[in-house]
Amino acid sequence: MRKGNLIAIVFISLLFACKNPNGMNGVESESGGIGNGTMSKQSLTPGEYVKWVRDEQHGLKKEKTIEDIVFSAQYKPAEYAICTEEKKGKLEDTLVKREKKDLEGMQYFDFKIGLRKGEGELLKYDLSSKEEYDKRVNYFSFNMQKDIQLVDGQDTIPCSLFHFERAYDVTPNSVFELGFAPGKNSTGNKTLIYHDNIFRKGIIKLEFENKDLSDVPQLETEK
Amino acid sequence: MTNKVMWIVTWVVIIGVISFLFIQQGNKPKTGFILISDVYGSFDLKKQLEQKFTITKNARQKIVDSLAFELKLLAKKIDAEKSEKSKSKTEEELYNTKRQEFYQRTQSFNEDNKELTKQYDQEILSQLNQYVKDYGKENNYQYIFGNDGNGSLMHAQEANNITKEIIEYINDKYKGKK
Repeated sequence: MRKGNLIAIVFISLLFACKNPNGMNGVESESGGIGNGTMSKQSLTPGEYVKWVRDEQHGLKKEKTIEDIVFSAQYKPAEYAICTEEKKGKLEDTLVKREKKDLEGMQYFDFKIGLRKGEGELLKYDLSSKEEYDKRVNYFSFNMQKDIQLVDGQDTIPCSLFHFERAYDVTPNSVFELGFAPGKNSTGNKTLIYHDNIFRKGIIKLEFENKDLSDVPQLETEK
Repeated sequence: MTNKVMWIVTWVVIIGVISFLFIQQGNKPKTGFILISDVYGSFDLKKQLEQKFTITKNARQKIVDSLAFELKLLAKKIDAEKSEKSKSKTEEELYNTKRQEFYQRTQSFNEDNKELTKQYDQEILSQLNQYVKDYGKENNYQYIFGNDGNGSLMHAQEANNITKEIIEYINDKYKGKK
């Protein structure tokens, strides 16, 4: 009888463990997290490093879809910016150190606005007139910066570096390179805030957890 | 020995049936309802945009108020000069210009306020609808009804009221936490 009970308990436990999809995901993400920890101690080649940073599971890329528009932000560690700039399979240690020094004192993000369907032209999406198109281009190029902020711990920091990468209407998304001064107390989470005045989706917030931002692997360099 | 095997088989069958029913229940599409006014009123984006709107509206009102004050002063001055019979034409012209500016500004601010309210309402609804949809998908809801007291939802069991859960979910989503 006791054995029977024991088997029953084990069976039920197994069943519940398999059934609960949230629980399963939790386990997966936790083990992913542990994996990240191990990865952070590893050195990755430039290609691997870029791939790692872009992987949403590692928490440096956040995305939010509101109806037909997708907003996403990519946190860019200095090493990532160097890798994407240099586009080389191997990087020299001196070069990385030099470029890292140039990038110091700011925190960088790529902010992307795109169409959910992945086709069409963002700037021409849902347009009512030619004037509206010009207004959009003008807004994205010059006025959007004031609608972007970064909440870093307790500090709200305005966007001090802003660059609109014009794709000349060939892509369904627009990319904005952003730079913020560091917060006074950068130990908390960071939230990128953008008030969307073009597609009228409201205030968009994308939160990056501090543990993810500080758990980035090292870049493998050549002496 | 045979007895023990029988016990084990019986237990396995019972647990199997219970688990099957449990899984069936878990997979069964659910139905819930929300109190729209509560959800709307508790949505953080709505509160934030309301604050933003109040700031803009007050700033505009200040401009109109100061124009109205200037007009009053000018009118008093002109009245006083009328009685002294030394009426200045330039002051009367200034008054008319200011009065025109006052009416134009008031009208344009009223229109801008209306437009801004419309824009913010649209922004709130866009996110609210999206997050409720996301909640429904994530939690396997077949239907989520909105009760706004207009008679579209006449009766629902309180057990199906998911207003509280939705409020928590949409605010977390808005903050970018989910």
